[in-house]
Amino acid sequence: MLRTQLLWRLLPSVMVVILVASFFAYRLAFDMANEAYDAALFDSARSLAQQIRVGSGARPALELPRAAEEILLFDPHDRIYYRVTAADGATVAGDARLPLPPAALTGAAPVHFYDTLIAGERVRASAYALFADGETPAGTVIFAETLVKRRHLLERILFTLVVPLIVITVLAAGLVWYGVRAGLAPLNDLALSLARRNSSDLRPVATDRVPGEVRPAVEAFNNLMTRVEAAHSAQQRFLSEAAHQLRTPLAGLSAQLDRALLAQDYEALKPALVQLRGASRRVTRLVNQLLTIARAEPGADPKREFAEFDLAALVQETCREWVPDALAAGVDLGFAGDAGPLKMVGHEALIGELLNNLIDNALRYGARAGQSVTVRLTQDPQPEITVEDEGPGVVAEERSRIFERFHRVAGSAAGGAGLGLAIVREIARTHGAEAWVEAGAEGRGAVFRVRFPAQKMNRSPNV
Amino acid sequence: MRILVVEDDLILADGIANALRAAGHAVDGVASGLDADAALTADEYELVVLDIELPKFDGFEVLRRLRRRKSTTPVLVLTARDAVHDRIQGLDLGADDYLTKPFEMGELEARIRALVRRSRGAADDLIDLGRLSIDVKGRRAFVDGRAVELSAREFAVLEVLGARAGRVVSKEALISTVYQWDREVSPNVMEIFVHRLRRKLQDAGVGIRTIRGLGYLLERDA
Repeated sequence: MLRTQLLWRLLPSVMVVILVASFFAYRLAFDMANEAYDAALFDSARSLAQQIRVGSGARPALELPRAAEEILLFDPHDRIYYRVTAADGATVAGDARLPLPPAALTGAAPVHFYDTLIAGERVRASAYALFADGETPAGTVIFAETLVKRRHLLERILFTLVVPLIVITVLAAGLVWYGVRAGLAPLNDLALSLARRNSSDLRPVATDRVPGEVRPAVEAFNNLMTRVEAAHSAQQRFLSEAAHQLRTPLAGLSAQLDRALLAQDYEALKPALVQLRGASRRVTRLVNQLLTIARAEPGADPKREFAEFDLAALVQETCREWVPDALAAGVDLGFAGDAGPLKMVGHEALIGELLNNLIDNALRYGARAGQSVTVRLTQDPQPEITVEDEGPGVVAEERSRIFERFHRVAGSAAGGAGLGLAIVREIARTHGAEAWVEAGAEGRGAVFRVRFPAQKMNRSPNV
Repeated sequence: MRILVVEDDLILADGIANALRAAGHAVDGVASGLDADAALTADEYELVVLDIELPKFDGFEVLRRLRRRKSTTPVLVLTARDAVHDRIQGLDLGADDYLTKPFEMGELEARIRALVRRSRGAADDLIDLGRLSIDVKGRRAFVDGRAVELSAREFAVLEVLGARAGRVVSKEALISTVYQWDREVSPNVMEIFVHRLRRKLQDAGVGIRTIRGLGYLLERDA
């Protein structure tokens, strides 16, 4: 989910920023507090030093009244240690366990703070140099305290920093969560309005309330909707047209059935039966054509069944199958051109269907008894199937329209639904081929051409 | 011959059964996969006409069970589905032939005849073309009972044309019946054979048509 994703991306950076800021704030506060404690420690060391008498040549001597010692050495939290040494390092007073400063003190730097251990316990120490006559080193005063106060302070600083840190983090997370949700609200509205839509409602989505970042996606979606709408209404038209086309032969069927049921004897029955068979053949042909269209359509994805086959063999075999029909109609059906082989990649059954429709069309509308229909296959430079007849031809203004579904040339004879050439064009399109009709040589007859794209491996070597 | 018709559309089943009875066969009809399986287990049939879209279990399943019992009964599958993969599935399962609905009754009968011939393991010994008859086993042809003088190659060409009377036979197919496939033969050689056959069969009630670019077709005179 987008919101969780954003949260996971934002929260770590927020945390890092807060942690870094806190670290520096902590260091600053800690250093300042430590400095204050160190100053107090130094005050104590100096007070102690004031109680020491330093004679030239003599050892320093501590003269500390009882009351002063109590005040000086009393601390409510920490244990206090002190040590006074002579110039040679010998302890004059105080606790000899207290270590000396790591570096010797000089007149230029008479004070030194350092961390050290006493009886295994960490202490903070302040060393103060004593001078006789203001310049001769006479000894050192060391004053030290345990770290209880400082630890308390540290804890308090940490606590006051960490609690707001947690609060701020939680607040930031909440803000991100809420902000993302508010930002995504238009998307949610969009999803909701789409989910509530009726499946037939293909109107485009209004883009005015959609955030700019999402607009390209919504516009692409709208574009798709427009195309789906177009395809959908084309399907709708096709379906209702197909149903109308089926009605006619079905009406004939039922009329002839009524006639047959009234017949008293076989002689009266027979004409009705002949008509019935004709009507049933028309329905059969129409349904087969509709199925072919459905299979050739891009939605059915006929490309999945594409394979290499020999176009020359297919064309000749298809022609052979039509010869008995042609002979029955008194038409001379022949083949001319390459005997092949001519390898191409495509849907063999659909190409066969394409040719079936072209020959069927030529026999139905093109050729009359005594005329001829010639199927040609050439391949220079692209494979091309042509079907020529010697019939009346197709007038110029009809030439593109006869390939439309359910279009029939006005006044044409034999009954058909006007699907045959639509099938031809549909199958051609599936194969990236062009299909058109032109006038025959010297303006006689019609020539139907289907030109396929150039094949990668046109001709396999003759075996 | 005893035939089982498995078809759940009663009008179609009735039509098939009547046509087959008229052709002299004994026909049993069932309307579901279960009944078909039971009938095929209980009785011997010489041929099954099997629909695919059936209640209970479909025709593919009936076919699968039949072949699992090692039965070689010829099966002609009927279906409204004509997608290539459906056809392949049917043939893979051991169907012997495939017919897509709707079909002409005449075609169904012809396919049944061919299946039975094939399952009995013999092609017709005698091709009857009206006045012309071709004795495939004896390698002789007769017109009105009188033998026609034919060379072995002329007879081979006539046999192929006669067996496929009414249909176009390509030149290549004819040449391959006469010559071995590795011999280089001019396609024109067939014109000579056909010319001779036409002369010898002038009065046999048949004609051999040249179909432009496609081959030859033997037809009976009207």
